[in-house]
Amino acid sequence: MRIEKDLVAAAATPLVLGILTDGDLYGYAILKRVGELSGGSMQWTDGMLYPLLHRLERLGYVTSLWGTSDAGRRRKHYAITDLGREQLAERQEQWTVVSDALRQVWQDLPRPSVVTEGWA
Amino acid sequence: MSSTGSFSPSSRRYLDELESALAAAPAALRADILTDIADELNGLDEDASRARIAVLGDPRAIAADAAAEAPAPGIPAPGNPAPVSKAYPTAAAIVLTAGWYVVPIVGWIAGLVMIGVGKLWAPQVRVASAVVSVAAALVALAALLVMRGTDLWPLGLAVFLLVPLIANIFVGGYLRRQWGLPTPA
Repeated sequence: MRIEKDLVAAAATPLVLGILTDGDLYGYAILKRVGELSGGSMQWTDGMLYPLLHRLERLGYVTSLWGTSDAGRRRKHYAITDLGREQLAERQEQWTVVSDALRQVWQDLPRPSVVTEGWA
Repeated sequence: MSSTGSFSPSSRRYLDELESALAAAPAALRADILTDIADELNGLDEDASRARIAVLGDPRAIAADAAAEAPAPGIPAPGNPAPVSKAYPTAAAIVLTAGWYVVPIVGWIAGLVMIGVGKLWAPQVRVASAVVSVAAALVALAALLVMRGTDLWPLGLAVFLLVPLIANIFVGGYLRRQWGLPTPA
């Protein structure tokens, strides 16, 4: 199942901030974590992630710091800030409301079968 | 970007294609994406490179995602508005101040009109500026008329020349600072 872009965009900020609460990560590691958490349904590219990280950094929700990769190369890591944690808490509340509302609407509807075709 | 590190031929080709595809992206964004992907491909042999490249995706798709997500050059990012040109308020301040002397009365009125039609001033700012400038003009004219033909004539002339100058310089500075600011609640 492929998640539509609008939904991916709406979830992007809380997802990245939530992932960073587990510890600092570099870009590709964040992408891999998104893939793992969504069971492969959310496939982001660096082209989607980095504009988001830059935006979150401008807003003060994350900060970047230079680390060193296993190969000894300088690599930029991202860490959540206190402001980012506040923002994440706010987003969590909003998503809880949305999630509860959807669950109530859908509880009496038949569960759709999982669609897997068209998946690379 | 691909010139440093140890890259397989397919990785080098991929990074070159990515660099070309990202040519229009903001420099900081381009550098971060290229660095991140180069790190993932660095040191991989040809087979491992091909497998990783398949996961990373088409460079053109990455560039398209970046273009869709990043603000285009010249378009301000949210919360970071573009600077507003001060050319108009500067011109209005000059016309208001110099107009009093260069084209007496008419030049100054032209300055008032420029204040009145300036859309990036809050209405309160326009009214306050006009009131101060007009008040200064009335004081100047009154001093000139009252002291005309008396021993205080030089003082009247000095007031006529200096009071509008001082008031309009003050108003001009105020107008430049207030240009483009949001209307106070």
